[in-house]
Amino acid sequence: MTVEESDARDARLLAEGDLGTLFALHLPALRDRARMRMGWPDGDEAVQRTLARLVAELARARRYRAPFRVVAHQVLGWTMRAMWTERRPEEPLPPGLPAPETDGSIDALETRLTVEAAIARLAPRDAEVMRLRVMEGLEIVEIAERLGVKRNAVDQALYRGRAVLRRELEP
Amino acid sequence: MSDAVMTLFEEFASRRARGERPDPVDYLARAGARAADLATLIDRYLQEAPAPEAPAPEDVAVVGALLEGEPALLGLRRGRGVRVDAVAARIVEALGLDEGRATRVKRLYQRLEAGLLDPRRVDRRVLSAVAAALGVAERDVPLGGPRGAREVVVAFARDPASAPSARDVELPPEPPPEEADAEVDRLFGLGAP
Repeated sequence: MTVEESDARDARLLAEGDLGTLFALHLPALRDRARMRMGWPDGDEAVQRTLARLVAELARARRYRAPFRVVAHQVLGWTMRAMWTERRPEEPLPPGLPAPETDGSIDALETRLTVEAAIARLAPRDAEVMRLRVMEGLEIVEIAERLGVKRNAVDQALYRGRAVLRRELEP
Repeated sequence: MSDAVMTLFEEFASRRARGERPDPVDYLARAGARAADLATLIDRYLQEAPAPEAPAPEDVAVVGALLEGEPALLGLRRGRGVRVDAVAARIVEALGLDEGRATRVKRLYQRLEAGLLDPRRVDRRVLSAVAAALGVAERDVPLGGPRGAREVVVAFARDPASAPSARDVELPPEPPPEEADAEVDRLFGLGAP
């Protein structure tokens, strides 16, 4: 099974409300990752807190645009970071944990993933232009210089790219 | 990234791709001073790899319990169809305890299962015996739930108004302490270390 097929199955399980199967499928990877970073039994606690949070969100009819796998691991990362900071303030954080969660972090994550996925589906040159604009924040003139094209070509690529992004990001 | 780290990572990933459950912690131990590099690779891999074709029965049991606001270990035991008496008997046998201690072992196991004992203080041999009784690997014994018994998971998983607290969990009454039970208590992390 490819990761795309796995994510598609997750989406189907979510739509059917089969949280038991969905969580059980992801429990081993979440647990292995948490134990590797947090040790036992703190790692198990981080996983249980993660699942509890996801259950609570889904019970409130929260729907994710990003794959469940990505959201679950992101929430686990935030949970591990928070637990580590609270319980082991003197010790350096394990590498690979995400930045601290803030209000709207999941929304920001989903938006970033959606934008990245949409950009990846553009024609290569349009994708490059959108990536430089959206991800690196370059001005249009700077993009034209970087790619050695005219400003008009950048404008056209951005026009096409924005149309795709608008379609993807609409609720 | 050294060749040795890459070799370990490839072995880990290929075993997992075959449906095995290699323990990352074992691999980090093998990586020695390069453990941090290997941990980064495995961490990334675990986030990006597809989930298995089907969930393991023990994982279904654990998740089912958590969704019901019950302790994970209770769910696992029920899912495996093992009675508390059988777990207690296995502990008594594995640790070479007097059979007269079985009642106390059972009572303390129930407290452990309910999340009322600190698993960090429980003797590793007890955990091994529990794993053997349940027919799972030691690392698959789910004992690391949020402390303070079930409040956290229950509060998330159920309507808080109907959620029982740790104080509501019905447990057998504590007998008066006896000298002969002191060893059993220590095995379950009670009393002075």
